[in-house]
Amino acid sequence: MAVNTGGEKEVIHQPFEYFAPKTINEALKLLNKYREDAKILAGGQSLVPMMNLGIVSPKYVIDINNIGKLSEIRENKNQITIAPLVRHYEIAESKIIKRAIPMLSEAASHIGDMHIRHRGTIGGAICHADPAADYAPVLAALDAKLEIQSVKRRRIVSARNFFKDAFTTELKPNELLKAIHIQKVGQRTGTAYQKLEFVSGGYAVVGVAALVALDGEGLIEKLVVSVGGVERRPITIVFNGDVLGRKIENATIEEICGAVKDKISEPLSDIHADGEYRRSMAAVYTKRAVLKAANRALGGE
Amino acid sequence: MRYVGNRITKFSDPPLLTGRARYAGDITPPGTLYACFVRSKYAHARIRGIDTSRASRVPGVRALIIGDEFLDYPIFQPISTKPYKPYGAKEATVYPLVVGKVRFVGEPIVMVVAESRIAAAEAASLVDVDYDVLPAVVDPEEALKPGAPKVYDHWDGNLFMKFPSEWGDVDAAFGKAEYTLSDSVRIQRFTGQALEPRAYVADYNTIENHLTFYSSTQQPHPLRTILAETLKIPENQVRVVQPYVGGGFGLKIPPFQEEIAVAVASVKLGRPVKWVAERWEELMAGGHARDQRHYFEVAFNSDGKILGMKVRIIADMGALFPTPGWGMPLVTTIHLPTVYKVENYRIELLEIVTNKNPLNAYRGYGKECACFLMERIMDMVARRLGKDRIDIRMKNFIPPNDFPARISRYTVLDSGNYPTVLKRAVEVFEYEKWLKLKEEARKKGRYIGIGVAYELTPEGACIPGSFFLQYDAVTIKVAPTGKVLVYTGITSPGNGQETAIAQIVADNLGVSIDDVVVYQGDTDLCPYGLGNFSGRSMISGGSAALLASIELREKLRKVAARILESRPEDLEVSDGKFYVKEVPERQVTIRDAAFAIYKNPYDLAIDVEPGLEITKYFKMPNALHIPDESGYTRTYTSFPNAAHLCAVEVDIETGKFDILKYVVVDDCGKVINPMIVEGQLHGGVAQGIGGAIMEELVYSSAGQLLTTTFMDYPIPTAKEVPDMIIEHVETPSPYTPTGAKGVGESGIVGAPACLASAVEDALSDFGVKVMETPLRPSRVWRLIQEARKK
Amino acid sequence: MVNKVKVNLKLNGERFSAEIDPRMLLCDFIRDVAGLTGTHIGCMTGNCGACTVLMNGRTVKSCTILAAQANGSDITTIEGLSKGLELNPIQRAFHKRYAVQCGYCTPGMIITAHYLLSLGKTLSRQEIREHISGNLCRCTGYQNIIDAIEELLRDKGLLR
Repeated sequence: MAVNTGGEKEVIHQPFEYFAPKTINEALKLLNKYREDAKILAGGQSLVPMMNLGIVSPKYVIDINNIGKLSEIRENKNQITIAPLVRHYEIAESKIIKRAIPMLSEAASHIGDMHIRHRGTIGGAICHADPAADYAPVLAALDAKLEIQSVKRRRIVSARNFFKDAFTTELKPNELLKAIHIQKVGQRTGTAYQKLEFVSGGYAVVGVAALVALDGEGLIEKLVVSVGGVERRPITIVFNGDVLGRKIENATIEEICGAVKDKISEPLSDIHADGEYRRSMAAVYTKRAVLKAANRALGGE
Repeated sequence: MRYVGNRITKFSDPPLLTGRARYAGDITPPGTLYACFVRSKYAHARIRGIDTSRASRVPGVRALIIGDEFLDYPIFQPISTKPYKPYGAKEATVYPLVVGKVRFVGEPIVMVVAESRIAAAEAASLVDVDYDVLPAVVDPEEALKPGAPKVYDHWDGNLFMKFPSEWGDVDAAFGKAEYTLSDSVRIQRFTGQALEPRAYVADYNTIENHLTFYSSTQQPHPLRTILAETLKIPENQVRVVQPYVGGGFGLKIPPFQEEIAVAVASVKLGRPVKWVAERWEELMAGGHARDQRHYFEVAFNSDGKILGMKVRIIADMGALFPTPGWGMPLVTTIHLPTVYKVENYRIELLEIVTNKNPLNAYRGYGKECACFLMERIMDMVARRLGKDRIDIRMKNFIPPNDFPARISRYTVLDSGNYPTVLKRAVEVFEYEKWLKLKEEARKKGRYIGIGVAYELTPEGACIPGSFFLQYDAVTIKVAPTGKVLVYTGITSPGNGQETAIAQIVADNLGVSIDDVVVYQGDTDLCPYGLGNFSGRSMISGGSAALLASIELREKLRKVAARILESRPEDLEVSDGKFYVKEVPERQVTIRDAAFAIYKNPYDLAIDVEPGLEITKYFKMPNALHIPDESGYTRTYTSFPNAAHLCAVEVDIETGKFDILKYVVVDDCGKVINPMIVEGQLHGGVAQGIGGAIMEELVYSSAGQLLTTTFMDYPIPTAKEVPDMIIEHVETPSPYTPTGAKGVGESGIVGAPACLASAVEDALSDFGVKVMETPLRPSRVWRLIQEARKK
Repeated sequence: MVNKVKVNLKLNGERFSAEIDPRMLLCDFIRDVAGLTGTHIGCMTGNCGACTVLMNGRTVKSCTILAAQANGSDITTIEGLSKGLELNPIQRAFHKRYAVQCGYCTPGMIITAHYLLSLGKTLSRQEIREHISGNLCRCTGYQNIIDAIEELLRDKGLLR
């Protein structure tokens, strides 16, 4: 996203207090105390550059990297649970995730570059809620459940409702994202994430996540498309009657892409890509993602 | 010849590879203070007041300096606009900090000096500037309209100058031509962005009135003169040191406002002051480049021969600076019509000031605009006539027997063999094969295109009354033990000229390269030279090294002859030894001959002057500053050239394209070190690709720069730059003793034209015309959509 | 006044500790506190990779990490990869192929190459391009750098 620094400094110049809690409770207490004045520091791949540029100047920085419990990927029969400090490279390489939800690994492997993936975390990326970031459409398509914790309360929010606006989420100032729960996708179900970036490591001009379930005859049983990078929050379409039961063929794809285009009313526009381009690319990448997901549903790659 | 022409590895590598090299930003003398600049948030505003009271309370702040305190330091201008007065050229005084009104976003207003970088930055954020915001002028053509806001109040408008270049009888040519075409091409504003941001450390010694200045500069000696003149310190009390420099590309040519401010602050405070630019400061205030529009008409015949051209160039200078940016569009103008024999043309250049960051030199320096224009014309003509694009170029080339070839009132091309170079490129690229591949792909709905471009890279700039000239110096000292110390006036911002100089010295002195050490970039050590720009290191520096080596060698030969009881002309030299041609076993080492000069001045070395040290200046013989009887001059002195061919595949759904193959056949005259030459071409093409496909400095209509980080101003990564195949044709320079023509700017000149040609070719089914860069996917996609509508 | 933070870490194999302003970045800590100026700063936004170091064995961009966050970690910088000016095999490969021009990106590039080789994974030329795409170079056009890494992988039988 274009950010005009307007003459700020690239050294962090606003004083802040630094905390490195060892437990979730400790972190939650600090968060409860300092609220809007505090920022959670996870991977820091967006937060620290923004502090360097003077775009964000928290008075309190709560570094959660020392909370061991926040770095696990767990799997049970139907569900995968990812803790927020799991780094992008771990998601890209995780055998569990690659097998169960390939598009999540795919999205992770497209974030930034190798060094950024070594450090950046899924929780940090989600909570930062950059409209051009990669996880949001994927999690929205998967209807991931985000477990949110404050000192007093635990609640679950669907990824489809979590992203409120650009850089704005459902999280309240005293809340922490504690876990991401994702249902494993079923038999004959394929997922794919397709991204258009202008330069390697850049943010998505458009990123489309598609989940396609086919029945025994190859007809569409379930189809979810979520588009990132085009509006201020991901646009998610759970297709119903019109498309369900049909074959993956040109006419169907065209209808799907048309539906995606119709849903885009206020496309983002910047110096690199205007709104009309983004809207058109949303359709192009929907086609690519759906075809790939459908192919995977049939056991292909 | 043992070293010249060979792949000698770079001398300067080991410290760079191991992290032990010191750049200016790595130097911190004891007691160093850190500077930070408060920069304008507006493009055009009068400063009503500055309140530093909050800032001054930050612990560690030592000084808050405003522009009025620098009124005694108008920056000395190394390149004067005076010779261009006949064309209306105007002047502007520039101070280290804003005085009166700001003229671009990012111009420094207040300088904060503190005990730490963090304190300086914190204080800078607390300075309150009261602006009277004025309407900004951002578009150069709007800037010419009556009533447009004036960037300089004392000028009569925003036109800096109007410069003509005319040749032949253009109206007659248009009158008799079978065809005419007209259109316009536009090159966006972009810039170099060396990975090392600018860094300056000034260390003023109050007691001795002596200034040591460490700078990431390309021109240590001219910078010394600029500092001495601006600060009014005797020039023999100023030492400029250029440590390792992390890339220059023209954008580290002095002087910048911060460069002077840092020096003055050190003088005022009596302590070392250090400033390292942040990336956003480099993008906002580190010098911009290009930003030219060219409106043209071309007249030609059905055989493809171009008879005449009319060109009007609109160049957006931003504000005016002491740096040589305003020369860039002039270079475009005086080198049209590049490598093609077009005998009638009328070119008019309008240089216009706006509220944008001033231009500085950037690799290519206007030559890429000339190339882009001419190559687009060649493709247009070929397409209009249904002819092959290679054939059209062959038809219009200046033939090899035409050299030296005067192409404008200001330019004579030294030498060249364009048809041979292009023919070789066609072979290496496998042009015929790719034509077939393209056709086959098209049948399958894939859009492959072939790009062709021929670049002319005028080098060895020689601008009257400036520090941009073609002389330079080398000092060689041979120690009694035969070890060789070389001091050059040229500098290396990272490309390895020190190694090439050592190759020339070793060969011509007859010593092993292992016995040669090269020193650069220290004004106390090196002879006065003009540093690094315009591919001049081998043109001027290499030539001086050759002359100095030969002179010392001849002195050594005399002594060797006496030792061997032979005649000097009977001796050969190689491998650090003189030997008698007929009786090679009779030999003496250079070390022994050197020892004799130092130890035997009254016997063995009786007929030579003591000492083995020499400084030689070389001056390019072919510049002409006193106009000849026709009123013509010669400004550039060397003309490397290259053919580029590439293949791309465009994804017509997205406008994104991949580069499938890239070939450059280059003629930079005699190649001193093929590895360095290839590396220069790799880097030049990569920067050309960046400018062609992604890099653009974008201003809002209010004059805000929208591209202030590498996120918004991406430069190519390893994924965007393709592998290149590089070959050489050598047409030696008739004017340099080594035959070298310079290679520092090759590659970047032709790459944008070649990619535009390829994309246009790939999309020929749609009738797309590519007349503008950068070719980011959204623009290519838009071209396809618009062409489809027609 | 701001609190100070104590940082204890292992730097190129040796224990190192200091009390710092929490605003300090890891890259500034390495350069200004530890005096290891081989780690360069090119952008401060995590784009250019000139500040790449190894943190607990993995490459990271040290301008995107607070020095305080490096407490307890194991950091390797370019200075930790060789003794003095003696070149290691990666550095020799870069030297031989003119994969260094101005040298400003070089330490980050060498750290990245070192990490890639330490993985023991088979890589193709295209994968080398992808893996070094977080390290910007403005001089070389990358070709000689990729050639050098390719050669090192080939010598280990790791080139696809």
